Amino acid sequence: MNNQYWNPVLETLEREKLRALQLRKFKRIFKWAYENSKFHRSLYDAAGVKPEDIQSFEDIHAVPKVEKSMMRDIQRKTPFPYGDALCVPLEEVTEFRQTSGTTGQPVYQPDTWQDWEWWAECWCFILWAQGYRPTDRVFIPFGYNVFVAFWAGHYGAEKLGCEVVPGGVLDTKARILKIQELRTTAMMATPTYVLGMADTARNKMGIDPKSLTVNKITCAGEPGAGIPTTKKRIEETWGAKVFDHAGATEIGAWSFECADQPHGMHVNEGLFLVEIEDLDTGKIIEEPGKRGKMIITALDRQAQPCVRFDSKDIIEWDKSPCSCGRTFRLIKGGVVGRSDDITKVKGVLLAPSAIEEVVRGIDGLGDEFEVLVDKVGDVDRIALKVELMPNSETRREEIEARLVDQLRIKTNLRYNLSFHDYEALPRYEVKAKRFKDLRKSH
Amino acid sequence: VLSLKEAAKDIKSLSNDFPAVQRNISRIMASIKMLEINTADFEKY
Repeated sequence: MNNQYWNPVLETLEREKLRALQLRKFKRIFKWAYENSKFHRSLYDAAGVKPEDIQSFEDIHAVPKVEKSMMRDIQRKTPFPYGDALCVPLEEVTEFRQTSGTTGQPVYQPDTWQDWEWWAECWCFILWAQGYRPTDRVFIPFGYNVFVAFWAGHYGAEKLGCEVVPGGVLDTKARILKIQELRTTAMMATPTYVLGMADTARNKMGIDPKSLTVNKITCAGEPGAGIPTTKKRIEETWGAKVFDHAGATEIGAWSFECADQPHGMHVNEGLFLVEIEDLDTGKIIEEPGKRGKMIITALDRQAQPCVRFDSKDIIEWDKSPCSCGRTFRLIKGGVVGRSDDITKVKGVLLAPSAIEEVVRGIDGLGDEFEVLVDKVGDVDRIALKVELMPNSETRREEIEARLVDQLRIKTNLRYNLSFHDYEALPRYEVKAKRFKDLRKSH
Repeated sequence: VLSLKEAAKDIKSLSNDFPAVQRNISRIMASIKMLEINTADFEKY
């Protein structure tokens, strides 16, 4: 049996059979939510949709979506603390996590032990596809706390048989020394933090990250590992393969880049149903090459079901099947943005990830940058702060010219640029806030 | 997998006053559910 798949049958199931499985599992989770959660039942009753109405994918499109703001509202009501969306008795909840609150009041996430096993299972698909095996020693430089982040990655790696080293409250230098001491072979962290660790190792400890034994890094939490220039920077710095992954507290770990690195991510279609909704028409996009908003269902999650959740992630189907042989569809370039991140500046649609792609692609610029958008009268202004690497001062004019040129090509905007000393801009560990739109606070 | 599930249910039904059995069988049932997801859910395909 081929050793490249965690589940060699499910991951290579013919598309038609996979779709039939998804439909059957959708019916099951919809019925579960309808029968066990007052919130879901009243939502569906109001729309006139009952479990027996779901017979096809077209029927699924008629099921009302759930938004994060709805979950926030529910959790402000009784019973404390999850409101009436909980599908199991409270005593069956064994895990509490919450969303980061980047877009507002955090949402609580209850899970049963079965859900937690499921989280680990989702991660087993990811890690096995990226080449993790029981012989790996995995370092996790993550502040274990109320955010789910790499908790499930930890349990997934453990379930798969890896030896897991929790790098919890250690500082960055101590973490690097631990990697060196234990000769760890793999790591999971945000792209921002992976770059920050390399910077500390090189410039404060005199350690070349390439001399360490890390040969694969799984990134999550930010789009960086899906942005080619950022991915290249991390791979060259660490001498390791870098893999992208996307997941969310309310959803689960729903996608992964496989070892073939196809410039995109597979949706785990055995465990999730992903629909892409056209931002203008609201219609479901089936064909490749057209971006839209992801609506996702976790097909097996129990305590607080995730049924047609409006994730606001912007994705598009890729047209080519992956060389790895999986029949799980690919999304091109991973998650390319969020519908609530994409903003108009001077009348031009701007995705912040496009600026990252430019900055990280220019040799001589540091990894950090900051974008500020504000308004003078009726006119938008956009400023970009970048760091010049210590040995690049003499090349400043050439770097600036390249930066202006690339920004114009990739974003169609002109920026007020400012160059700062290396390390002058803030450093982040998770959920970097590099894009600040001051117009929203006016 | 389905016979494992039935056996686990039987043990659970007998474990009311025996926390050590009840909690361990709950964990075993969660693992059996993962086996179902990975096999029995799509065996007819």
